[in-house]
Amino acid sequence: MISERVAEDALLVRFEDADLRAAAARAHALATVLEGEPDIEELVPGAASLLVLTRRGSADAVAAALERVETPMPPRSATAHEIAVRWNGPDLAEIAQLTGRTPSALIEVLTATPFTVAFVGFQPGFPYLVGLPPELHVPRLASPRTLVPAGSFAIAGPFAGIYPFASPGGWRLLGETDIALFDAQRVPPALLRPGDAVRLR
Amino acid sequence: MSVRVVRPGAFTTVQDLGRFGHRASGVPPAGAMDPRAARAANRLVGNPEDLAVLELTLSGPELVFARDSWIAITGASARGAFCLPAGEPLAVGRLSGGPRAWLAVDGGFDVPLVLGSRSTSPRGGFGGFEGRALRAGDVLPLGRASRPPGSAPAFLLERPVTLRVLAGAQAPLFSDSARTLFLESAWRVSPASDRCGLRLEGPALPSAAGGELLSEGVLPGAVQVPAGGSPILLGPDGPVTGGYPKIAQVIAVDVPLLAHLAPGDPVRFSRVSLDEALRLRECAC
Repeated sequence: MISERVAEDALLVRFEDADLRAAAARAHALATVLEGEPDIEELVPGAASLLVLTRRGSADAVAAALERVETPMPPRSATAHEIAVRWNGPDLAEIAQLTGRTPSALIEVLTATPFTVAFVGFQPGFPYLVGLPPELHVPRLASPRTLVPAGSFAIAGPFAGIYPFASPGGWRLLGETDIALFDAQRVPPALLRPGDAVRLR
Repeated sequence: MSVRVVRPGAFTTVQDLGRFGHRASGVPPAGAMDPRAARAANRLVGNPEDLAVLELTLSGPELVFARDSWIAITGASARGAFCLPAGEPLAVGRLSGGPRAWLAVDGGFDVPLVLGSRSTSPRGGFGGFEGRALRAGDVLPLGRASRPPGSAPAFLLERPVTLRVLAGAQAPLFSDSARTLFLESAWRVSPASDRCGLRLEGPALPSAAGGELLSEGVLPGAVQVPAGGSPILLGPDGPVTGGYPKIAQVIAVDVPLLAHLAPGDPVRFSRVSLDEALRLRECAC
């Protein structure tokens, strides 16, 4: 665990784990320890990091405290979500071919994969899911689509994700969901939160 | 009581001092791009500093208030508090002296609080007025004025030429020559700039790590360098996480200055120490 001052009131903690799922678990475990501490204003998980926003004037004290924190890995009972996907994405056939399997074999792998929400970003409520088998890590489109429909399930690199809102996007679209990922009237507004477990069907 | 939008202006949004505490759900802070100016506008009309104001961009709206109102404008086309009779149109027109202004009314623009703020969140389509910039025909509710107009220190419009920066989270990954080029070049603000980010035109900076890293939490004022080499200064509506290497971070007291940079404006960067940044902030009110 390496912590670095990146702004007056911000520390970035990086996790060096090679495996993104392990890094996400450590970031989440640290966030759980820090949450609610009086010197902490906000915690922003990343792919293998945690951005710690501190109360004005507290960054030095928090940095010192971080040195002493044991990075615990509590066997936490994660909130589990099962998400129904209609496997009709425009890139499904191409990605199946690219990864040397039939579309139905690709769907089988995806529905058998236990995903973890590493972080939420890009759009409000957009979950970055880790756990994708390495053989399904595919590059993004060289030129992004101008419009990806809301609810699209997609993969790119080591991540899978679901678009809460229609937007431009370069991820490979494998299916659609009806899940409401973001509700501004709810606290917290994102349905899928860092550390949550996700299964597709 | 309410206000009707006759013409919306180029890009007019409802903003307060920002929405905090929901970055982990992917919600950017939003808020007035220069919160000092929004606070000053509120003080001028006797409001608490955190009431919602309108943020105006390049050209202002035409508005008709249904009640007698105290109005103040800070930033570009600044105007101290004046009383506008009910029904008399207020046409702000093209802003002069800068790209942005903040318009306050006594009692504030009383849109609903969403996740603790009245600021507009265009990415999520919520907050402000229906989660979007104003359009002709919109009718916004006004709050009840509680205090007589006050006074505020004259809010001077600053056209920043130099932004002071700390080393960015990935500064060590950039070559010495890239860091030197960044600090010694005269940059220009690109027309493709908005509240999400200001794009800069200038020499192509050799990026680091192929221009792409694992996404991590980012803050307004971060200077990101994508593979193409044109830096992007992150604004208050930008995403909460990003994967572009960051060569620098604008210091806290200078982040509000991004609001006053217009397309075509020149901008330079100078490196300061963390101690200096902290000291400058203690001086700032």
